[in-house]
Amino acid sequence: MSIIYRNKSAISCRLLCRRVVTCVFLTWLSFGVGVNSVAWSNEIIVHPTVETTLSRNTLRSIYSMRLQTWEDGSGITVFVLDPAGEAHRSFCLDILNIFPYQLQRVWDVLVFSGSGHSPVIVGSEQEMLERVNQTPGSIGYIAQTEVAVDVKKINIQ
Amino acid sequence: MLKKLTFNKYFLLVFFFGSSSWSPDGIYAASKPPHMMLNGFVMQSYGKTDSNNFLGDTSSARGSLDYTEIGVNGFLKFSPKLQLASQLLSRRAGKIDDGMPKLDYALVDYRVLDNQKHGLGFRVGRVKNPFGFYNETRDVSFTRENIILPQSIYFERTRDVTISSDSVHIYGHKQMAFGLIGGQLGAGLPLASGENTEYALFGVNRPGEFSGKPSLIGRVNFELDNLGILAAYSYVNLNMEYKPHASESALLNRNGLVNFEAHVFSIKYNLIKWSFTGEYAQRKMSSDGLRVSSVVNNKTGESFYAQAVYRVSKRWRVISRYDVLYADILDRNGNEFSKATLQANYSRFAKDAVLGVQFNINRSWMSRMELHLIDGTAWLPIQDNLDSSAVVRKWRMFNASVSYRF
Repeated sequence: MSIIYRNKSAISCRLLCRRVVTCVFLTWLSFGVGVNSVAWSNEIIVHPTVETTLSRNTLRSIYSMRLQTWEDGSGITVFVLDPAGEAHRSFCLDILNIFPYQLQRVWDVLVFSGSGHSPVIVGSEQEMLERVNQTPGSIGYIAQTEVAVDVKKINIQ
Repeated sequence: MLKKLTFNKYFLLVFFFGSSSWSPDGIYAASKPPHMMLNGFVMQSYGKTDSNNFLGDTSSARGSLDYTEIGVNGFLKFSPKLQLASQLLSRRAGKIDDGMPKLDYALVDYRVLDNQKHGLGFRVGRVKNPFGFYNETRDVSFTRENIILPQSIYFERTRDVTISSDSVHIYGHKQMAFGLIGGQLGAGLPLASGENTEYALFGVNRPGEFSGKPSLIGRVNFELDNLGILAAYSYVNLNMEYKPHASESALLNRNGLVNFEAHVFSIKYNLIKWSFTGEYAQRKMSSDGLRVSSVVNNKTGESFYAQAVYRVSKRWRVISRYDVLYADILDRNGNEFSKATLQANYSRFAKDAVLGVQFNINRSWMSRMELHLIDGTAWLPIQDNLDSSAVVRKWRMFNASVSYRF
C-alpha cells in the first residue's frame, strides 16, 4: 500500500510540477518574448531640496525632457538607468505609463534635431543614488526600497 | 545619450570643442554651466535595383554603396532657458549629395515660459523645418523606421529646400486634461541654392541659381498623455527665386519666383508590440514668372502612406509600408501628361510596397534590410537617371544598412 501511495504521490508531484511550469510559461508568454516576469517596484528619488509630490503628467513631462525647470525656476537634471534594462522598462510601463521605445524616440528626436537633449544614463542603482544625492535639482529612480544615502523618495499623485 | 566616454569619443570631443571643460564623466561633468553634450551617428547603406538608379549606381551588377550619413552634433546648455545646438552633416547619396559636410542646424533656443501647464520659446538660426513626423531627423537612421523614408512625402528630389531654414521659430505647448497640444511656427529663408532644386523644378541643371525667399512653415501636434496616439498637421509655404545666368534671360517672363505649398496630416497609433503610422499630403508647386512647362506648373500632387511596425522582441522588428505618390490629382495615371508631352505616364506616379527587418545589435549598433516593389518613377531622382530612355516602370530595390550612434 505504502508503495502505491508513494507512486501516486510521485505522479501528482509530477503533474503539479508540469502545471506550475505551464503556468510560468504562459505568464512569461503573456509578458512577451524576451521579457522576464520579475516584479520591480520602482521608487522615484530626488535631491533632498526638491519638492516631494509630483503628478504623473509632470513626471512624464520631466522624463520626456520637455519640462526643464522646477516650480522655483531651478533646473531639472534627469537620470535614468540603462534604457535597455528591465528596471527602466518597468519604470516606463508602471510609473510613466509610456512604452520605453516611445520615450527613446522622443529623446532621439530632441538630440538629433537640436531642440533638446536626453537624460543622463547611470550605470547602476548605486551610481543613481550617488548622482541624485550630489546633483541639486536632480531626479531619478531605483528598484530597491532601502536607501543608505541622503535622497528623498517622492509620491506620485 | 552619453554613458561613458571612450577614447574615441573623447578624441572627437576634443577635436570638436578644443579646450573645453568636458571630462569623461558624462554630460553633466562640468559643475558649472554651460553643460555640454556631444552626439553623433554613422550609417552605411548598400543598395541594389534591378532597373533604375536610386541613391547611386544601384542598377549596376554590384549595386552601390553610395549612401552614407555621418553627423556630429553639440549641445550647450547655459541654463534651463538658454541653449545652443549645432549639427554638421555629411551625406553621400548618389548624385544628390557628395558627402561635403554641411551645417545642418545651428540655433539659439530661448525659453520664455516653462512650467507644468505651458511652455513657450524661440529658436533663432538655422532650424530644422517641422514637417510631418520625420523631416527634422530624416537623415538619422535611428529615428526612422526604414532605411529609405516614404519618398512620397520625404522626397530626395526636393530635400534641400525642405530640410532646414535660416529662420526664427516660436514654439509652445499646453497641457490639457486629455493630452498635450503643441505647435511651432517659423519664418525665414529656405536653403534653395544648389542644383537639386533646379533638377526638381526644371528637370535639368541650369546655369543660373536659386535662392530662398521669405517663407512660412508650421506644425500643430496633439499627443495623448501616454503617447498612445500622436497626430499632427503641418503647413509649408516656401518661396524661392531663380536668378538666371546672362545666357538664359529668355527663361523669364517677369520674375523667377517659385512657390511650394504643402499640407501634411500625420497620425500614429502605438501599442506595446505594434505601431501604425499614416501620413497624407497635398502639395503644389507653382511659378508665375518662370516659363516652367504648363504640364508641371500649378498642379496639385497627392501623397500618402500607411506603415506598420511589429516588435518581435527587444532586438527584432519587422516593418511594412505601402506608399503612394501622384504628381497630379486630376491625372493620377499620367495619361493626360503623356498625351501632352509624349513622355512616359509612369513618371507621374509611384507606388512602393516595402517589407523590412531591423536588428538592434546593442544600444549603439543597428542593422536593417528591406525590399521595395515599386510601380512608377515619380520620385526617382533625375540626377541618378539622366538617360530617361533607360528608366522602366516596374522595378525592385533591395537595401541593407548598418548604423552606429554615440
